[in-house]
Amino acid sequence: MRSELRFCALALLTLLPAAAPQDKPTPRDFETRVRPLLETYCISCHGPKKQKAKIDLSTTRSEADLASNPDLWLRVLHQLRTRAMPPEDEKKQPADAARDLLVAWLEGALDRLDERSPKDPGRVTVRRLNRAEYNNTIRDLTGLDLRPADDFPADDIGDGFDTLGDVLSLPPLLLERVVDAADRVLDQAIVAEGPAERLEKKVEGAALAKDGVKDGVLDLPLDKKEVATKISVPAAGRYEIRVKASQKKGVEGAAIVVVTVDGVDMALLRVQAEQGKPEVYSAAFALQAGERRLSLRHSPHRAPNKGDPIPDTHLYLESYEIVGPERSLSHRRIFQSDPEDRDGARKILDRFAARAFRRPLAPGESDRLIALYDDARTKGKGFVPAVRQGLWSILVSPHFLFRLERDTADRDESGSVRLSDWELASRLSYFLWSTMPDAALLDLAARGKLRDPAVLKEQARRMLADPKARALVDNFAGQWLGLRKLETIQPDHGMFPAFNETLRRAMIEEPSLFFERLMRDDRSILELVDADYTYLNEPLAKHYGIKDVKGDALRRVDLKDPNRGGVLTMAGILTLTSHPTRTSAVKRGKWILDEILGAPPPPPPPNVPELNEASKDRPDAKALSLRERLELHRADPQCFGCHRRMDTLGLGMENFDPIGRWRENDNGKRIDVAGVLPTGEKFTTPGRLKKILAGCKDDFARAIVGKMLVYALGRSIERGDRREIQRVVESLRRNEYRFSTLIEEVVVSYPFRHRRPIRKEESR
Amino acid sequence: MKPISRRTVLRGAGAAVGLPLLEAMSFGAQEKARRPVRMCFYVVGGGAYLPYWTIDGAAREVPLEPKKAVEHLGPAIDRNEPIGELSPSLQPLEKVKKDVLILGGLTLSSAYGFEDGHSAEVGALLTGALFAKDKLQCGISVDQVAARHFEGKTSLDALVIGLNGGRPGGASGLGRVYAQHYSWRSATTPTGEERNPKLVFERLFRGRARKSDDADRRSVLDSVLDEAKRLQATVGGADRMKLDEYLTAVRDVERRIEFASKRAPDPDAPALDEGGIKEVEGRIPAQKGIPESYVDYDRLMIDLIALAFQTDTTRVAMLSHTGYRAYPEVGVKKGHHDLQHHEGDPEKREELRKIDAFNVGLFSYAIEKFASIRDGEGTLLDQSMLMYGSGMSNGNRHSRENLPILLAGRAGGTISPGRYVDYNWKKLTPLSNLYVEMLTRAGIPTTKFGDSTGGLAHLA
Repeated sequence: MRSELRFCALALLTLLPAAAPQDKPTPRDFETRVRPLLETYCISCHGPKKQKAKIDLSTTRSEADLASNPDLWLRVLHQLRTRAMPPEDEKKQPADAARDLLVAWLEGALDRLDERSPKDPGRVTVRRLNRAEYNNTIRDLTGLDLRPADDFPADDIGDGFDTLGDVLSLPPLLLERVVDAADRVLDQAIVAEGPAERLEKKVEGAALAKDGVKDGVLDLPLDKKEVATKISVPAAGRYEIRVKASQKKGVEGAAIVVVTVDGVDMALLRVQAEQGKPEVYSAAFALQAGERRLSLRHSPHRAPNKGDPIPDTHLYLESYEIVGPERSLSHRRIFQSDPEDRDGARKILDRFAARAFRRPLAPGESDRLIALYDDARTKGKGFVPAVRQGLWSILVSPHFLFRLERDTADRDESGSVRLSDWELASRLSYFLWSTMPDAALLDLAARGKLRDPAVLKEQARRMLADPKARALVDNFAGQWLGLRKLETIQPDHGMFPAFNETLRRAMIEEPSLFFERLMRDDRSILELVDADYTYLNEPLAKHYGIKDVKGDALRRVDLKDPNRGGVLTMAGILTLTSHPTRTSAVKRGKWILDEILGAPPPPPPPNVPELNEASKDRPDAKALSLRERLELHRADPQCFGCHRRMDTLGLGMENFDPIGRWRENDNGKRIDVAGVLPTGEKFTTPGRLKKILAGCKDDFARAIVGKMLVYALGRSIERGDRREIQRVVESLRRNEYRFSTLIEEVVVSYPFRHRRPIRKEESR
Repeated sequence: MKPISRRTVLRGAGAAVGLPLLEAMSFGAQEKARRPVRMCFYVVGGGAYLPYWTIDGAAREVPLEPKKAVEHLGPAIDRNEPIGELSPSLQPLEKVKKDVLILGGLTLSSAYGFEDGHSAEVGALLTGALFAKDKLQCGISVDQVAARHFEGKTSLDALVIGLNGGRPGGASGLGRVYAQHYSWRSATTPTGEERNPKLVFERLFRGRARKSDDADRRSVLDSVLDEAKRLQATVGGADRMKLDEYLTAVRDVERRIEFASKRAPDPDAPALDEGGIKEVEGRIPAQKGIPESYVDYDRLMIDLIALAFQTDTTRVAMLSHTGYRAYPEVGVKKGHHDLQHHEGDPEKREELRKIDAFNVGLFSYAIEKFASIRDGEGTLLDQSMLMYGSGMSNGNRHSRENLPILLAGRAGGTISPGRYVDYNWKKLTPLSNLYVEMLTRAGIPTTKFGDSTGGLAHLA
């Protein structure tokens, strides 16, 4: 165990192959041990005589002087760790021990500086709602799941997430779509006055189909036939479909009915009632006015692969009915029962604006809204259309589209702005749910309770248990693990015919479900690295060579093979870190360094010689294995440091093929995954490598805390966050690395509850 | 019969429009001597395999040996001669070679410098800018310089389109943003690309006849704009910049509405090809809006651009192709990025040739399409500049010298195509010099763009 911990420290702190420094230099060591090294190796180019890159390190005469330019010293640290400095062509190179000493001193000195300096929460650039957040917010605001942002241009991603204020831009094309979306949303959510025509159509008994109806029941065959009827939709709005049906007795799972309008799938119903005891299943969806064709079909759970046996499911249909528009719901939610006059309009607009802006209205806002109503009335518009003008303005307002946080005068002892209750409600809600705060959060904010850390933690726990926390799985885990990319990745079909759409879906769902269960059951985050269980369905279990898992639904499966378990050995991640036709030790090694150890290697230097070039003098160049070619590549001193680490880790996973199946041989040659880590630790199987990695508890914790903080705050990690990240890691260590601790500590962290006010010089 | 404004026609074009209306309109549109010059940037990711691309045949023989192939940047030569025999990758230009300039030797050398070659390839191509690492700072792209110029003169300032498909991952942090965007509305705001032909069509031809009509929208937007301005005055730093983006965007939308509400008939309006619009609309898949086949997808977008130019709905377009995908259309199964780093492997180099030829083939469709449309006295191609280009040359080394650039069209008679011009890459002539020439020919007198050092000889 001891040696495992040594490797971890090494992975995080340094790229050096040498042993980790044993001693911890103190501030007093600066004069006697550090300064002489700086003089020897750095100051000749970065000193009083020459200031290459305009850097002069000689002005630092004691450790305390670091405080005058900590960012510079952070860069120095990076240069030392990555061996970028002193440059390769410099004759005087420090021995590894000397380099280690400098790195250890600088680490310690920066830590000590952090402890002394005032807390800095950083400053989050105002956040535009991203597409997922916009869709969810519209859903919670109106009660209609319209997903208008699916037509918006894609959001940009920085540091791996689409939540970064700095990169979420708002080009005119996007605003054009927002303006159109405001119309579409209001078209669906509210109805102009006057009792509208209703659609009520029921089809039952003999009318269900020309033939096949027995005793008023139609046995609808799987995917072969559909039942259909013409409907006249009187107005745009939400319509409800009600299907009375049952399925064959004794069948596991459900018979699936797909409801289609004009060829577009609108809803999916899962019929579970058994034959003779039919039940009514319903769903609602939005329709546009006009003549439409409504149809129902009995669908298999998934697209069958060639040669699959036809499942023996039966659907017994008794009737189906469509009614609507069921518009009163969202309409009433917005208009409630306020009178149809100016006072009523003001109430309606104020209520909607406060929810959309996620805070009470500021002075003057209400008047501006009612002015739009007045203006429309003087132009002869009716009550609802006039209110609509105000509603429309709310949906295109910057207060809705952006999460604005203000530099108020409420400061703490470090001079940081304390976020208001309302701002905290939004931060919590968009972090855990990717949507606007719910009534409970807004109520707590109104009562001034959210600034109490105990309340924040309690709310975080409540929110994690809510179904809406699935957003954290889709948006955090989906991006952290790269699952969104799995949607489009395409392994070579000729070489990997086993990779089909069914398998793709299972590959995406396995890590998602694993993460979701870990979150819901509040398990240890370390299980993400290594676990003896996972979630599989039949196709994925077969893919892994595991027997006795039947059906399409993923369920928990205990793993007996120590080589499987943890996200690293899930087929999805293994496929993502491969090329279409072959595995990539470099990609896999880099993934482990980035996501598991939190020690991303620096980008390759420019003009790196290619693999083949390095091997050009070898007559057997073509016959070399990947491992041998990588070894030649690493012979280059520029590449050695990082590649030794990446390749060793990546080659340790070679037993998994490009789509994540276990293999013993590649091209007829036996695969050799054995490796020696820089610390001298040896492994001979992926399982053993994984165990070593799983021992790096704090490194993994630090990595995931950093990612979570970026996602939660919507900004990159800054120097001032080092201390807070360390605090969360320590709390995790004390609390068995529980998921809830991770989230609770993030929401009470200093940068989550504060912001750095704008300095005068930045104000323009 | 009263002349019909173009707006009325555009609004109704999605629905049935009777032919007599069109004739009434073209009656107003007495041919004017000067038709506008249009610009279309057809950009492709991933560079080109130069030994098969370059026109100079001698260049092809030597560097096929693996070591040389890795390094190869093509011949450093000066040329200005009629196009003779086409290189292997340029074969698809055979039918249109009288309409194309093959431009060799241009570089983006001063624009690179970001740590990741593939971010620079995308973000620098149309901007000629060196990006910042610590904050989002690129440069305005050439299409958007033109867009600003034509703002208010046409209904849309520019059509910025990108086909779905992988983009390079780019370096960590902000690098990924630079790797996603060719078009930059300002140094800090990417323009954002349309991906869906259905949405492009609606934007072009459906008008915006919705419940809240134009006048309503304008008065509400005015009120929102006032409020946003007040808000902007109270925030600072990067927040102010983000609200500035918002204000710019609102003004832009207002301008479009205002443009659409100009009722005065436009005597310059060209005749609308009603059949052409219908035909294009018919090819848009009703549900998803995106054709299954990549070739159909690309051609549909080209046809939409041609229609937009033809109807003078816009004069500037950008169509980007990500390039970071396999090309099953020509039997290439490996990912393009994997192939770019071919390490001299002859099989991979052959696959790169197939990809390059495929892309050039798609481009030659655009040329033929433009040549088939009448515009004033000549064709749309006579009045246009279609640039084909990639921000890398040799992908194996992320090289930025000797970029694969083609320029089709006659720009209203100011360009004489049908030649191979090479500026000798060792002279490091910036690609931005070409943009200086293109902008000037589009009626936007320009002396400096991006990293330009002047203009470019031998285009006329």
